[in-house]
Amino acid sequence: MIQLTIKNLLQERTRLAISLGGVALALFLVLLLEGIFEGTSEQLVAYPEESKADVWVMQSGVSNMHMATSVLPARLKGAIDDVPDVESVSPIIYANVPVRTGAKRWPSYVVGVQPGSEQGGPWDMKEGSPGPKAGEAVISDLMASKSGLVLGDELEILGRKLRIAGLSRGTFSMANTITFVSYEDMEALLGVPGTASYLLVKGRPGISANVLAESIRRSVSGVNVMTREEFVASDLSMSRQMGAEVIQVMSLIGFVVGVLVIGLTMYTATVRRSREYGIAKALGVRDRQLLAAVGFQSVIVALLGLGLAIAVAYLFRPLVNAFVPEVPLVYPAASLVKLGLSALGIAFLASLLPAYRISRVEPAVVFKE
Amino acid sequence: MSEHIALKAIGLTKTYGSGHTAVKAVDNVFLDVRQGELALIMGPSGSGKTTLLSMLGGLLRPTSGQVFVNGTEVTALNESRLPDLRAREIGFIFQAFNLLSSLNVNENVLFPAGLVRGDMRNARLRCGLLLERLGLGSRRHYLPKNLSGGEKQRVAIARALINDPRLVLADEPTGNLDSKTGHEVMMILHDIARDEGRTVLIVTHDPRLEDVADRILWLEDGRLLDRKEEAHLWVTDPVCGMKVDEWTATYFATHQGKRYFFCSQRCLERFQKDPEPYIKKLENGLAAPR
Repeated sequence: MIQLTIKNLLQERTRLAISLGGVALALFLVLLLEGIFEGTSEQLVAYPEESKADVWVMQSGVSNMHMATSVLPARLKGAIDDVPDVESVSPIIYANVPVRTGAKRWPSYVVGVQPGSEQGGPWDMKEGSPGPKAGEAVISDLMASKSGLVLGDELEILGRKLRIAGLSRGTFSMANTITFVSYEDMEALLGVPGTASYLLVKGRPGISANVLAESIRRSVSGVNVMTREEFVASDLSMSRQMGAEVIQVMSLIGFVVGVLVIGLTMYTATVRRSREYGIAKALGVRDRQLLAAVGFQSVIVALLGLGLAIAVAYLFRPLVNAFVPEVPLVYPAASLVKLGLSALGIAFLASLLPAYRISRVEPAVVFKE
Repeated sequence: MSEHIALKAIGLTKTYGSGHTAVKAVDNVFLDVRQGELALIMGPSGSGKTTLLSMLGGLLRPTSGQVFVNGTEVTALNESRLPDLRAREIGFIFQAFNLLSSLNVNENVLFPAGLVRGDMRNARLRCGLLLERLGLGSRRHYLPKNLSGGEKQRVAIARALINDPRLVLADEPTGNLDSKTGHEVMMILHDIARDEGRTVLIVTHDPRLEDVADRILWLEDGRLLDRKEEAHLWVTDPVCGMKVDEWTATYFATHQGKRYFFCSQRCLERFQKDPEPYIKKLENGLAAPR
């Protein structure tokens, strides 16, 4: 029966191609959307990831940077400096505010960093200085090119004009951009002198982040202390949670489209071949063998469609990187596994209607001309 | 011919519908066919021949009665055991050949062999021998669409024999074949019964098959009757002038109280469109309708 199943599939190449194409397109769209979402989520945590801090200290009750506000007294820096195993502490002031370049407004993480700070500044400079002085800003190179700005041009943050002193890489995504200004400018812009949003702590060489975090917790009360790894995971979880429903809906749509495409092509193929199924029954094939054959056909189409979708998705990625660099595409292994399971689910559901049809074919149909 | 009864039917009846609309397609048929016998079931169209054959082959459940194939009561088997009996004990040959279009000749013939437990190597050897014997050695890798009607029917015969069944049931095996290939197929069926001792039961309209039959059974209105004394009752198709056996003719029409018989659907349709010229032709002495 397996031979018959495969030969039947190959005999109708156009039908197979349509079916494969439909399933592959549905699964590709699901994977693409998840890839964009995952890439954007990862881009959202690029700042804490690249901050070079071993431990983040923030206001008690806060555990995120994304969609969160933290306010700490700046003097806390001294207390943490005194904690054993701490090598340096860099305060930052952070706000999620728009940056205006001409008529365009860019949602942005604006981060105030102290001059000469070891942690929290831009990590990959394309041009200019990484440490913005008063009245200066370091912006994303992509934002600059999209706005037609160069070094020395001006932009506006919270009504104040700042001069572009540097262009950084890796600080732009579909969701936001990261802009660096001086600490004193940020204090003034937000009107919060003597405060910090987060304290970024670097431990002495050889000290693990967990040990360092525990030391700080023991010495300083009333704050939340997280290792960079914990902080990034918490932020990532928050950003994923925000788009999860959209992704679920799109995945469901892709799943339904896949079921319909395979189901309809299998059903029409079954109807077209119902006489042959009757012949097979007359010759001694059991119902369950025919049902298994239909299921096998669906699984083949679904898995080939899955393979095609993954191949196209990976071929698509360099094109996206080249032509739309602000759209980060990441395909996590979990998404691929989920997609594989979806494909099997699609195959199962798509087999039900053809299976019902086959179960009703009478072997006596062989005597009809 | 052996005395062993290969196929037996006892009081076989098939009724479609119920109450006032009930129609008995097969009515209380008793039948014994011996091992090695070649028997024909003939009769007019709609007499229940195919329904009877379907029940004898375990393809259709009778309303009542029993069928035994080589001692096994087919009618007592449940749906899970019937397919195995069909694959192992019965070879089927159909008017429309019924080959699987995506499989080549070799694969079509071997298809039933894959449904029963057995050595596939032996089945392949047997397939090769059957195809050689039936003159299809050079066609093994052809798809059905690339075969002639006669070749297709020979492939179907090879397929029917691949599991070495003792009973072969054939439905109009020469119905779609021209005279020459029809004769070839007829002789193959004859050899299957004579030389190999298989039981062959054929449902047919083809009077040529009578020449090779051991026995001819006549089915009319669902009942097996004695064969009429005259072998045939030839009349003339008023459209094409061909001789047609009135008893077995498939196509007929009644016009002004008279019945006319036709060789094909095409002639029947022409007649029905405008009967008068054809009737005049008959009245002018070509032939008289009964």
